[in-house]
Amino acid sequence: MHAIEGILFEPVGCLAEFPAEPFHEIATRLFGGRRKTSKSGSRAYWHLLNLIEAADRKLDPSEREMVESLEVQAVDGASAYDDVVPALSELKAIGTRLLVASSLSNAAVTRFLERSVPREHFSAMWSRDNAGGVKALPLRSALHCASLNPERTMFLTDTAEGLKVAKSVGVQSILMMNDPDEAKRLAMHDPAGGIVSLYELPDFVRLLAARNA
Amino acid sequence: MDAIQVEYEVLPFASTLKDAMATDAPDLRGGKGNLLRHANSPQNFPNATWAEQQGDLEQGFAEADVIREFTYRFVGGVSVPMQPSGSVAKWNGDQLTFWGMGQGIYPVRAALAAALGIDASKIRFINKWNGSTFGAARLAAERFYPLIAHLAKVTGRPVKVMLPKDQELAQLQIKPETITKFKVGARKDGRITAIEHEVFVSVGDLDSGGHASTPGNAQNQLELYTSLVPHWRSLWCAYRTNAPRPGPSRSYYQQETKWSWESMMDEMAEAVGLDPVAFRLMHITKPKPGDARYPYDSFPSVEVLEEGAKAFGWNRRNPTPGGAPGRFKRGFGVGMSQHHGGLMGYHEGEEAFQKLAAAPGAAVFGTELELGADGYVTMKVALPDSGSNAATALAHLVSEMLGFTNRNRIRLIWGDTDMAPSSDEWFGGRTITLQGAAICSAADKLRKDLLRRAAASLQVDVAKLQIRDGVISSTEDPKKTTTLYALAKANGGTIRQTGRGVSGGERTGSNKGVGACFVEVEVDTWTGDWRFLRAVYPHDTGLVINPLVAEADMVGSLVESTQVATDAIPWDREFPGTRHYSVGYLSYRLPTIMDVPKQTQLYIDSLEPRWFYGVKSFSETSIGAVPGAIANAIYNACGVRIREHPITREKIMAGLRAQGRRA
Amino acid sequence: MKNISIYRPSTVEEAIQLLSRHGTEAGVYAGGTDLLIRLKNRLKQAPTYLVDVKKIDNLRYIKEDAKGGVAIGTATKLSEMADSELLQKKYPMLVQAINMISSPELRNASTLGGDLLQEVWCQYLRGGYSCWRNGGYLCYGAIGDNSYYHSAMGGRLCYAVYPGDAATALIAFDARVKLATPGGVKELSMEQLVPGDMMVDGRIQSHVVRFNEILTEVVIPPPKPGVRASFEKLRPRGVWDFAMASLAMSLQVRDKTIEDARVVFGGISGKPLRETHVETFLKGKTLAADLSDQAVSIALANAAPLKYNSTKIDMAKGLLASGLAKMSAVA
Repeated sequence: MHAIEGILFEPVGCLAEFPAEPFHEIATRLFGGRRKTSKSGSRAYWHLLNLIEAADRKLDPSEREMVESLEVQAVDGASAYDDVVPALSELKAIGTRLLVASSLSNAAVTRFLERSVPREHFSAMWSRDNAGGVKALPLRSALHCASLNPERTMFLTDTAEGLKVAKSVGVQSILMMNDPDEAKRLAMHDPAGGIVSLYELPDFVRLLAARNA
Repeated sequence: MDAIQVEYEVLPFASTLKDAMATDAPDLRGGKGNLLRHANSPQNFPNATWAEQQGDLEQGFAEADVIREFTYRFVGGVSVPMQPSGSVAKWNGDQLTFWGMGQGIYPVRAALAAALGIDASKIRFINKWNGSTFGAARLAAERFYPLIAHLAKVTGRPVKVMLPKDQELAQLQIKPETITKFKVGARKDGRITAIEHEVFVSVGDLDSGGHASTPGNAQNQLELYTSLVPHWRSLWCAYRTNAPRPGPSRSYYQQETKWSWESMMDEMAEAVGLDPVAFRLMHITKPKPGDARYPYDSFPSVEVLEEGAKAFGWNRRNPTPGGAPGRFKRGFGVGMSQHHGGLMGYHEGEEAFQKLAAAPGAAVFGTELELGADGYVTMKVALPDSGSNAATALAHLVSEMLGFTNRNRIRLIWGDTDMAPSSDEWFGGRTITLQGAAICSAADKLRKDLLRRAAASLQVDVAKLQIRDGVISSTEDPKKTTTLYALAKANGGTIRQTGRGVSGGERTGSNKGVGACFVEVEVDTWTGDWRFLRAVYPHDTGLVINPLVAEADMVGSLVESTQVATDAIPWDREFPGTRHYSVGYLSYRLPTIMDVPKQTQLYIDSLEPRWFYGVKSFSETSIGAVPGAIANAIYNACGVRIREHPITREKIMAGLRAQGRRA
Repeated sequence: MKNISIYRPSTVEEAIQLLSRHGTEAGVYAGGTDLLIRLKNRLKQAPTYLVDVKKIDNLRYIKEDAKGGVAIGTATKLSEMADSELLQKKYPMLVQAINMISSPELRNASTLGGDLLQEVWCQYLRGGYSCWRNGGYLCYGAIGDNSYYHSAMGGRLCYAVYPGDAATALIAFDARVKLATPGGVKELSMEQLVPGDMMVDGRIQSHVVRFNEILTEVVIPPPKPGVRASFEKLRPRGVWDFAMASLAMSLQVRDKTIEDARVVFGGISGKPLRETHVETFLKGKTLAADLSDQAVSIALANAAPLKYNSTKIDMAKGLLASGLAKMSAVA
């Protein structure tokens, strides 16, 4: 793996543990069907993103409002991981560029940064609103606007879908391995790397720098 | 070509019973459901593959004063041969020489010939020494034979395949993950009134046969403990999984099911306030002569337990689990095992032999004995050896029948189709029994032939001749003697006789084996460490041909079963779906010389009367008793009951911790 | 197995030059009981250029120094240490520990330096998985079967335990080491040598030795008066196996009062772990059986077990109780 210049963060599952309920609710209200029961916020979220991507239609204003409101509810119910702020500070100090590349709405991302992680850690903030879509689109926008080489950029994720998206965009897919059983399953999807916790991220970046020196 | 790159798409999978039985389990059988059901599966038990029952369970439980439920899990295990799975193919024109690994010569040659579309006579198949096979290595090695033979043909060069240890572990058959549920009712006096028994087993990719269809030999243990129980039901529920295929792995249907039986019998004994040996004595099958249900002429179940308990000093057992004072606590445990007693059959000369031998697919064993002018008898046996040293015992038979007082005059040629006549393959107690039948038949013929020739040469009545250590002499006139080598010389240098035996017929069903294992352990209650101090291994052996070979077999049996009980490969924690095992011996620890306890063999010579020299198979029976015996001993020592296999120091420590012990 | 080259230098300087030339593709080859296995198992991380130090004259010795301590050359075989009367006289606990390493056959080939600097035995690394120590960027132990070979005291990137027993025992004796480097000789404490979870020259390793440095000597200070020491190692089998948990303890006792203590756990962490809270607690206390409960209650307070290895902590605590009980039983 090359030395890393930048890291893209999707808050859901990587910076904080999000509740699943609001995403299940959005999915049911937008697309109907049986409500999923998975307790995993990340899985609920990525399932919803798949539905959104497949539907490929613009939301009308009332739908937008409903979705944003529920997303904000999810953000309010999220608990940021303990090591987020120290890890991001350390990464910034060693010169790694940090960007938010999220499929959440602009409102939700902004709320998240207000509540959980100070905005100043990030050099750019991409949401589905300014990227014009979900999943790969925020990542591509972030890469393009920051002129980042995908091979020198990491994307953290804790779902199989997230790994697929990372690979399709060409960035280094880094598995968040906070749940060992889930991670064991996901490791079979061949991520480029994996960390048990965010506090390992700065050392990961340092190791790559030393190896590629 | 340096490498082949493969892209895998990981499909949904279920490596454990829990995954395969879940309501949202991946579909592994194209919509048919993961539970295997066959044409003869029970209609009234739609959730079972096989069922058997007796009486009325409801009534049985109603009559009980004490009812208990237990669940045990056997996580899986495998016996790993020391020798890696490998073979070599080399052509010379249209003749193939093939060096194989496994338990058979001629049948394997036939299968290889069929796969290659050539006549079997074009193949010289050699297999002499195997560093264990355990049944499992047959599959691991044999599936590659046609491939490397083909590669050798098209390249014109000898080709060898030798699997690395971790890849071999993906080819060997395993002892499958098995979950057993019991509901047992007993009266105050200890008599069991009802047993409800449900077994869930992971059968890998099997669709039918073996574990996928019936409990097979596991029905033995069911029989051992239900023969005196009026109401019982046993269900066998086979689930398709993505785990490795189960099958012979030093026997099968044994540890995975007997782990639960032996634990349950101990727990029930405790529930009714009886000693575990006494409780077993109360319930084990004790066939009477003429018993149509259990027509075993020899089944010394009581003797096995009582003699074993005596030799072990069972009466010194502390009946309170964890009752011994101090940090280091010792405990006693017992386990039993019922199994087939070897595969019987008939030898040449017996009435049933011709018909059985002529049937299609007959398993016929053959041999040739050749007396040479040097006075040596060469025994030709087309069986490979797996470390069990069957040939030593076979040589014993020949020596005895030809009047030798030692084996020094017997030579062995084996494991080569160019040098020994056709024999079937061996497994589960077929060497001394069926190859032995062929050997004895040939030796009998040779003895008679030699006596006839001597009678003619000495002008003495055959009935008045004796044969001892190569010398045939008149019982009335010691000056009238001749020697074996003189007779051979007179016949142009050699005298040969062949012999055959065949498997099958009535005899096999009437033959049963039973054994037990008594175990003493010591547990360090401060660290969870434990030591296996000693074992007494009483078995219904019939006639023991060679005590040293028998002892070696029994030591191997105890060591192997201890390994299976204590260090199963943790494949459920590895990476199911990618590699089931990460490495060979770092994740799989065989007991070493430092860990093998003092072991006393007790041979209960029950003399199987239907077999012409009273022999029985026993080291396959014996392995079933060990895991339960060790778990029971550990419970007796420190009060920690391990219901989820394997038995580990971590579990002992966790159990001690839960009891609130130190640290 | 890949093609390799073997050099047989006759001096340490020559060896360092060779190591410098080939960088991280080279490695020191002493007994080979770790290195050759890595090569045979085709681990990507195994060196291609082997610098055999067995022909170097001055790396194999056990000798008393002027102060009454002992200096040991790192190419000394473990069996030579086990048979040393000098070591048995001055540091019997060390000999006890050496005798619990691997097997008699392996001890005939393995060296002290090799034991101190050996690669971890995590079954995933050794099975060729592309983990942090083998060309990859993920720890399989953290998410797979971590019951035996992985740390219950936390980790960073790699979670494998430090497997060596010699260091565990030597730390209890305040041993120091010498490193030969291109810039001269460096001296370190044993603890500084194996701090665990290190990133050195772009690699993850348990020790601080750089690609062009050679560990040459271990120096044990003279035995302190009134020292009682013990070493206990819990393992599944009576031979070969690495520690599930181990404990090297050294108490300096005068008139039943503990003047100084060293408590070092092995097999539970990415490094041999000095439990300084217990050491501090023990200092000044009367050595008696009732110390155990208190010592155990404060030991390993910041344990961070993985899914399957919390019993390592319980076992380690059991060893602490056991060690203290043994020592207080000595008159």
